[in-house]
Amino acid sequence: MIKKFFLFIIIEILGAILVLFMIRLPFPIPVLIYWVILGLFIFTIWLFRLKSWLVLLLSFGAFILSATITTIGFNNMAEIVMRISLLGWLVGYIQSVYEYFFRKTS
Amino acid sequence: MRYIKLLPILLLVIIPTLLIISWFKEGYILGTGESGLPFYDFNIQQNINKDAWAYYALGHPINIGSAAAPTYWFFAQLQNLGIPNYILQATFLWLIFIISGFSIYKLIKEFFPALGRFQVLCGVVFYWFNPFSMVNIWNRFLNNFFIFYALLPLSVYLLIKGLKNKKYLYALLIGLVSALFSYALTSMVFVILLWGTMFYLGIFHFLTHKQDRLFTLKFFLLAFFFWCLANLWWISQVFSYLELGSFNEVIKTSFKTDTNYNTFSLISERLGSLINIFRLKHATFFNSGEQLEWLKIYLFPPIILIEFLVASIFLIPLVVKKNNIYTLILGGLLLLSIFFTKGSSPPLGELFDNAFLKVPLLQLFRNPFEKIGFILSFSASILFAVGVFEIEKRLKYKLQVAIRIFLMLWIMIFWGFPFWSSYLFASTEASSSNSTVGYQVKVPKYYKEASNWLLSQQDNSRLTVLPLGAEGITYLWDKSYSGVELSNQILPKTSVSFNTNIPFYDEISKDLERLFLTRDSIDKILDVLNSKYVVLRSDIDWKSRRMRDPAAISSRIEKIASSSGLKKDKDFGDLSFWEYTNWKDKSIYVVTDLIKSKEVTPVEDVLNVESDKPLALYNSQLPEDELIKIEIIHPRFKFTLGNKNVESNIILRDDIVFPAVNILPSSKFYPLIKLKERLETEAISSPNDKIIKKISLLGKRLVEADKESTAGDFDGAVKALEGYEEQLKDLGHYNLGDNPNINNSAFVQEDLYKIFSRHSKDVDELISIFPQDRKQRIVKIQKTLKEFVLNMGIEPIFGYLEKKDYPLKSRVIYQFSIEKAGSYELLFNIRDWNNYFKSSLDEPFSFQINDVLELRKGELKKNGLVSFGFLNLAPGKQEIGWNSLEPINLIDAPQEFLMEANHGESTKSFPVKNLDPFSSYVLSLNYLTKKGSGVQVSLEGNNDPYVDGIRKPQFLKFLGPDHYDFELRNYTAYYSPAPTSDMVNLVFTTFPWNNCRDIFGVNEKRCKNEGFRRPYDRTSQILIKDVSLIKLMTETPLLKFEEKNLTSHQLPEVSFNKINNSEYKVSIKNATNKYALILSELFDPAWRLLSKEGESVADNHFLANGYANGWVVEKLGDYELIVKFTPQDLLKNGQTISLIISIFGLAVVCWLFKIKK
Repeated sequence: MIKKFFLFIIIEILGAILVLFMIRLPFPIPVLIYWVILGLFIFTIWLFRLKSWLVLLLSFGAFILSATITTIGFNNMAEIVMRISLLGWLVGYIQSVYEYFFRKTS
Repeated sequence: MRYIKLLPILLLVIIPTLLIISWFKEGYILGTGESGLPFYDFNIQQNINKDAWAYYALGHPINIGSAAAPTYWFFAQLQNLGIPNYILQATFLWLIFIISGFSIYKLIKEFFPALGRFQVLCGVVFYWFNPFSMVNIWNRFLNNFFIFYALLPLSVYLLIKGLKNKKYLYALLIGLVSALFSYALTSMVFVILLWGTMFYLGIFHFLTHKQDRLFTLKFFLLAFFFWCLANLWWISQVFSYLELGSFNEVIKTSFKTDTNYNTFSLISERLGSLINIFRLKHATFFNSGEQLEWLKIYLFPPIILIEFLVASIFLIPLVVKKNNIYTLILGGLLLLSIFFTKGSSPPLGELFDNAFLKVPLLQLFRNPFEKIGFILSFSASILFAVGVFEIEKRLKYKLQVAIRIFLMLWIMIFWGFPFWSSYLFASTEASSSNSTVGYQVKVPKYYKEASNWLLSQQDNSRLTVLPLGAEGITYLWDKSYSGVELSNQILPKTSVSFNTNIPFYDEISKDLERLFLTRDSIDKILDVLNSKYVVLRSDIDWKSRRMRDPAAISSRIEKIASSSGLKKDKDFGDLSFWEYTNWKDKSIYVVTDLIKSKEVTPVEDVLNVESDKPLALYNSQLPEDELIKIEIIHPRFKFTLGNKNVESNIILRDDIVFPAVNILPSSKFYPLIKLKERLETEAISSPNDKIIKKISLLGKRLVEADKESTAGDFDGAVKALEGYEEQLKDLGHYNLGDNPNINNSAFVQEDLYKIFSRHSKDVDELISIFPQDRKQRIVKIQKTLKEFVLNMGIEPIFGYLEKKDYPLKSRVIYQFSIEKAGSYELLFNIRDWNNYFKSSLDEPFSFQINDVLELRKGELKKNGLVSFGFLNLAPGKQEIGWNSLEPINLIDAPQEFLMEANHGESTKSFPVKNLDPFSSYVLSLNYLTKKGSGVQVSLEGNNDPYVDGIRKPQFLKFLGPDHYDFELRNYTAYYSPAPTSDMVNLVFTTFPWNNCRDIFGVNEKRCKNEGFRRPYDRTSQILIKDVSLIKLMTETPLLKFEEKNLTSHQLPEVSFNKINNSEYKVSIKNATNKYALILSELFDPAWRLLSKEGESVADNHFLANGYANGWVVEKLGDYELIVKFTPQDLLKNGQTISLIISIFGLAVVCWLFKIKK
């Protein structure tokens, strides 16, 4: 578990560095940041064997967080959180479908 | 208690009934936008849509529009029974609510039987009143959107019911219902969305019901094939349009990937924000509180938070009920629709972006919010009901009641208030009279009177309606209308009454008004259009739509009436009908002489010929025909030198043309430089910026070659030059100068000429440096460069001729492509020459004709053209040029004057003399700011629109003080007036210098008060000198070749009978020689000329008169012909099959129901 945790920390730090680097690049490279975030998302789920309900719950949390930030008026920041939330919904949904069809039958 | 249980069902009827009563209580029909006003007269609508060829404007293939025909037919029957049209519309919209409501209700119960009635009701009202439906269904107000809004849940309900109950009956019902609701399918997008959704649901059912897989497959196939057969009449039209008709032309001219992609990107950027999409909100609409005050309420922070909380309700089932298969199915649909609704916006928008470019069909979804949003609203509504159920399950009864009350109040009152108040039906477009234009419309009675009068004349004539604007129009009626232009919908004759980009139609509509205003006689144009009446309308808001003042057109028609055979016939309210007294039905006519028009297809060429014989324009790529007696050749390229009055183009800057170079081709890092350049170029999205970048990189290659050869590394220099050659070929794929619309080129040819002249000079210098053995390679590159500048229309073949007595001064050269040797007349259409140029037509004028200088005198011809005599020209490219004439200043201003403002604003206005609105001008002046702020220079037209009471002039520039240069400064600018302006004034406005806002920064609002601001005013003084506005010679010359023996042939006698909009029976007598038969309907390859037996008579179908159909017929004698739009046969057969199948299906359904009972 400790090994997994260290691997997680290393990959996440590398991912964060990549994201920060990409933010500084001119258009259209920053758009690809979400692919990196998606990769990190999938990696984290795979590493810790996270269940779909948890991923969906986290996405729901991100949705509520984004809603709160929008209400305060920081729309740009809220949009970023909402995008990450959508990534979570998509990953969680695919996991749910997988769990429904494969875990249920196995 | 029983009634309370029934309450939700009763509400499904009561709510729409109350809503519809509130909308129609005043007895007006509603209409706006692209749907126009179909509820005004269904008989006209039915006549437009009943055949394969639409009876609209100059005609067009009905295509998928035929799906609307049954609906129009049905309503026309009801209208003919005397039912008022507003009642018909109210009933129609009521049915939309009822059907959509009950379908969603039944569907939710089918998916989630455990849900209570109230929770299901929540889903229904959510579907009715959510923000997406508010904007995209009801504010948009398109009839096919309404019907699809009801058809989608109904079809899905039948599908799910059929699959769950394993009954084929429902597969038949899907087809029957779609035939009944076929109006919804007038958009291919909805067909895709409908079947896409059903396919998605079917796949899940197939996967989750292993034991029913065969049934699911059979059910789905039966549903699909029955659906196709029940809708065969319009499906056949779509296929015939793709295969036989003008689809290819539409693809070439209107369906442009670049334009669609730009629209897609722009809409994705504007509407693709997830914080709005999750709330189902249209970002632009809900942020337009400036125009619509009531929208401001939706911007309050607490409201935003509640909107998110309400949105979270339809997300909750995804978290808490994810083990239910229907939650999974609908959740997937919801997430997919959110993902695609945002278009190319992040995250992962590149997937849709790439698919959009690679799959042409996806370009139909260039507005993803508007289209895919239907699925979002649909899936969210069902999940919303489930969410309410899941929340209530976890609460105590009292809280359940509180939640119910809150949600109903929120949806019905907060989201619903624009529905109840009809605020939804207020347009953001205000008319110039400052009244808000709503959707309630009352067409004045005089339109009905005019219609009856036109119907009483049973002929095939057309109307020409002026003033003529774009697709949109605003009428000034008691209950006004704003939306698509209506003439074809509210008058029973077809008319040319608006301008749009329908291929060939636009060739006519874009020039029609100009021809009325610039040519002294337009009878030949009316002949070509088969137009019996010119209708002048003065009930339009011409200013807000930037159209021409109807009064100006009225006086113009009066002026040209006698020369054009026009006579005022009737007045109906604000409509005046001018009859073309020489009108003869030219729906179908014959000619033996054709005019060939080359390079462009302007209908104007019929006026450029002085013959009184019947003639038709021949615009075709077909081989030459002996009937062609006159040829009019328009220039292909325009070259200028020394004509740039305004230095505005950045691409001539040295750092762009020849950028600095650090790493040379001989360096090992050079491949990285090339990679960097490639990435940089690919990242540029604007085509023009990309071209500038590529030109800059060409210069870079030359600098590299120069540096390498100076250092003695000729291998490196050759490498750079090879790169140059390769990049030059790549640049050849872009549209630089090869633009038939000569004055509309994206790049100024003169700039490109200067750049490539420098390139050429550089290459010449390199040749002199290079060793002998390598010179050959450079000479080849030099040759490639020369070919490039000639082929791209950057440099004239014969160059810019310069002699001592003929200096190179503002030279203009036109290049023509001549196919046969002969004597060509050089003609100009320069109206009122003497008003704009100092030279007189009588004085000899120097022309550069290829590489020879010639003096020629002008002569004004009867048709208003100026002839400069005949030129003997050989086949090939020929160039004709001249030095621009000395212009006349069109502004009568003092040579020097002082503008001074102490308080308020000080204005000086000068009218532009002899304004030609179809030309371009150069404005020039000198100014010196002596004191205070600067001067505002504007060119104000008589039809400038007003926004919030403020004029929006066509040209506006503020010339402020310079904190460095205190001398007299020059300002020069190009100016092209709106072509619909009749008068323009040059206006100088000065304001006093004022520092109120600087002093009261925090409370600067106080400075808006004139009284408060006044003490801070200080005098402004600006000196203005040498004001001039000169006309540019934008008119292009043309060459005319005319055979001496015009019309030696005898015309055959022709008579015809119109069978329907798609078919004519033609009788030909005494055809003694070859002739051309012209059909005055929009050109379409599916029109055929057939013998009585149905065999093709002529294969050489050509584009006639710039828009119509023509055939050269060689058959002699007396005989009958059929002119037919061939998809009509498919329509008839399709209608028969669809009808039989629908009746059969209905009978089977009834029988199955009987068995069930």
